[in-house]
Amino acid sequence: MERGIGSGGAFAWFFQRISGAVLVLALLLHFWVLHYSNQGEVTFEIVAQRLATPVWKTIDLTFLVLAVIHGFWGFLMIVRDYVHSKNMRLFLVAAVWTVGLVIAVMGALTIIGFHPPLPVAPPEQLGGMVQ
Amino acid sequence: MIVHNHEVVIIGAGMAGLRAALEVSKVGDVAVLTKVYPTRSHSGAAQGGMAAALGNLDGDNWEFHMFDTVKGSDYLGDQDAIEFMCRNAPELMYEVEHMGTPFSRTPEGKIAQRRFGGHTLNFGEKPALRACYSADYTGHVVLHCLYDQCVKNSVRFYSEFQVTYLIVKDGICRGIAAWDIRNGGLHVFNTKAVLFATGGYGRVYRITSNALANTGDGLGLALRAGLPLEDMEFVQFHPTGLYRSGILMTEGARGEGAYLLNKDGERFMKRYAPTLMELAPRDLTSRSIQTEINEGRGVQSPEQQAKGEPGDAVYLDLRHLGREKLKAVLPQIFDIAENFMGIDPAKDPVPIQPTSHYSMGGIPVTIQGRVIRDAQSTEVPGLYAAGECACVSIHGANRLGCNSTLDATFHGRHVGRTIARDLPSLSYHDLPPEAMREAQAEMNWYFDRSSGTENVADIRGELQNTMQKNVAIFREEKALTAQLDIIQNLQRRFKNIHINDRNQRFNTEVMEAYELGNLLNFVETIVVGALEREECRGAHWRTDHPGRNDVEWLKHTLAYREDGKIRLDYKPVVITRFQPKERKY
Amino acid sequence: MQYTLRVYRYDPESGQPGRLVDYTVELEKGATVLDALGEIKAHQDGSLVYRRSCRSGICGSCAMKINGFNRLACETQVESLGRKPIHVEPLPGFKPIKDLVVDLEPFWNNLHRTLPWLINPNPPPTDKERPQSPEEFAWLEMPMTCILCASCTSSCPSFWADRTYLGPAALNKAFRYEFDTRDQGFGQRRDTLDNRHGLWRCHTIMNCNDCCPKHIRITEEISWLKRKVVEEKY
Repeated sequence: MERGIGSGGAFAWFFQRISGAVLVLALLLHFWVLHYSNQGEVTFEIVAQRLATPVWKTIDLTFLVLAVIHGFWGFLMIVRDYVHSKNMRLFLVAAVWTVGLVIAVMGALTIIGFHPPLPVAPPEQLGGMVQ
Repeated sequence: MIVHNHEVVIIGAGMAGLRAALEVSKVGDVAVLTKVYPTRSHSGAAQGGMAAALGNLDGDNWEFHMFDTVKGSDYLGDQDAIEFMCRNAPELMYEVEHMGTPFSRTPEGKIAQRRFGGHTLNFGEKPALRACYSADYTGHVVLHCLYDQCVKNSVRFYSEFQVTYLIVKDGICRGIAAWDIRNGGLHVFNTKAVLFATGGYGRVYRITSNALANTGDGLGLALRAGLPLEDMEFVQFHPTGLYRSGILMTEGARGEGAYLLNKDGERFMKRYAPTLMELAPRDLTSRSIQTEINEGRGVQSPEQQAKGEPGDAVYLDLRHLGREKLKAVLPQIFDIAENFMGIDPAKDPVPIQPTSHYSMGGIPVTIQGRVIRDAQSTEVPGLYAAGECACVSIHGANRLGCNSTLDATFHGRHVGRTIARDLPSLSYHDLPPEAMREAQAEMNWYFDRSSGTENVADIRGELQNTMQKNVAIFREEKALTAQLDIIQNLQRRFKNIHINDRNQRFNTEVMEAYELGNLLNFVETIVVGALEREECRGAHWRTDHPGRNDVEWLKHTLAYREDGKIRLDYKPVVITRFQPKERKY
Repeated sequence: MQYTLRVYRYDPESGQPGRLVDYTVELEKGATVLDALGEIKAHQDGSLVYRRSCRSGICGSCAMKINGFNRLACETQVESLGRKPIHVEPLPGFKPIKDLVVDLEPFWNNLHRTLPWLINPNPPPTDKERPQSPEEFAWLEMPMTCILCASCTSSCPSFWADRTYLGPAALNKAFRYEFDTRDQGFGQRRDTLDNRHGLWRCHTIMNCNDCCPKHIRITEEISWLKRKVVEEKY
């Protein structure tokens, strides 16, 4: 008999539905912001400024956390359904956890730790740095 | 040999067995033996409904139901028993609903009811809405509901046990022996009471609506134990079996308005039953279909067309009901036509032919369900029977549709109550060692047949083909006499059967041979009964003796096997309210 | 027509592992896989073992894996099968007993764990039925046709991984009572359903839907049950 997160699974199931729905919304937002929000050229400047705002950091962090949990929980389910060897299962569960944590931590550091280069230089001074 | 003690052992887990188990489990230690899993029992194949005069849609009452059943039985049914059942049928139906059986509903939320053959209002005036139904899965849902209730009540099941021996000594039933199919080995059950609910024997015929398991095991055992079988010559042929396979196409289809057509597209029933048309009782309808076929108005299969042979089917026409209604009220019929014939019943008519369906006869019992051993109704202490294997007799010479699900559930419950009442006065009796030796020796014989030369399937096939030819809807002396010789020859050949598999575990080769041996043991009672009864009554139709003969034959047949021969005795019919009259529909 | 069947044979008493054996049989038009097995048993090898009874698709005995797909042998016409020879194997996911027969005890045990009977503490009305509208009955029409053949549970990867998982057939039964307006058993069934080996083990793989011989949309029913539990809880 194997163990899983939570006592029953009701919460996990419910969480997967909610996070799935939120991820769809987040993905739509992401698409819209990246492709349609500004009519002009996409420059490092604009992206950097956006990434520096606390609101955007919160959105990205939510996006990251939900995606990692949703996705890796799904991996765990596949492992639990289709991997019947005990050792293999232990290995894969450990691997899923490790990779998931690493991605989450790296992503979080990138999002939280991102600071735009100061002072903000006008675009023409940056020359060929941004294409 | 493993010996078990249970106060009550029930053999068979169809509607009758399960309903009785439910009743007995309230007061005593009960075990149910079944050769298939309980939910695989053939009660589940009942489709159309269960009769009870609830009057949810018309002014029905139980007296009409009683009259129809008596008239349907061609006045051979015992009227005290019929009255008892029909009067209490509504209460039983509500109980079945209260247990949780899902039923189709009227707009007001009551149990829905449909028309069925031979059920009428006002003593034959017009068809009555009497069959309570659950789409066309009625038997299935009632069976599963009863099983669920047994699970709730922790009834002990011995699944995949084949009963092989009934231990009766000094006129007292002491127990049974059964073979554990799964693990091998003979088990002996020492009991205070044994209830047979072993069902019918449709497998005597080639074309049958019955399951492969319906081999009348209980009847063979009773006959072998020196007990008689009652009214065995009355075998019901259901009018609408799927062409060739005989798979049931419910009478509920005609209850919903389906037509029967011959090859000219004529609704031929108008010539046989002008008032009720397709809703005439089964014996009459089957005979009408067979007459159409015999007179060259049968529908040909493509192969018969190619060879120029006459057709041996007629059409069940459901097209005018429309796809939507078919899918809603007859979903199983729809699937069966598609899966087994490749026919879309909303587009094309379905070829059907009469199929062996139900045995009106069986082990004679009192209204209380106690098995009797002679025409004086001497009871066999500790032995009971209910359902199709028993003959109360409710159905007489011909059963009405929907009365079997009612009979099985009703008498299942009633015999359960009888056993519960009798239990304090019943006790365990010693098992005679010679009986146990005999039971073991019999099984050993089957496992030691590798030197035999006769093929079991061939003997079975020949029995079924010849019974179909000689002892089916229309009967006459010459064919019946010939059939007796054929059976005796098959019995001789059976002594030399070959069985390849010697494994104890899950040896279905031995089980199939055992079932055939059982069939061969009692099948003569059908033929001898039919040969002696020189009249036409209900499902028994002698072309060489036209007309019903109440003066000589208004009586039940009792058939015994004595010194290898069948001896017949007769028992009077109970007539209370309705005097025999000419039967017209 | 002649057909070749490649049938799984296994005899625990021989000590040998199971193997596939070819049989060639002559069959009439319209013959089913069950007819073919019957012909083999009658005239080629009487020791071939399989469960069967009604041969009309209502008893649920003869579910087996035919050409890689769980179905009823009695309903499957030989002609309709593409792959030749026709592969006939026992239901996966259960312990084989002999040839095509498997041990269904875990299946029945799981079914019984869902308390498969009507639970209602209120006494029913005397001399009449508990009322239920045709619309309310319509919820039961699909689940009530289940014949407990075990095709679904046997095809479910989640069941292969976790034999204590209730499985689709038991959950169908739970649905049949939970969505019956006459039933009030949710309180008693909840712990069995709201459980890691209950509803939440279903990962909507939908094999059960695909192979159900009665076309019951089991995954959809399980989703209704999940919704019922979540609505109750959160």
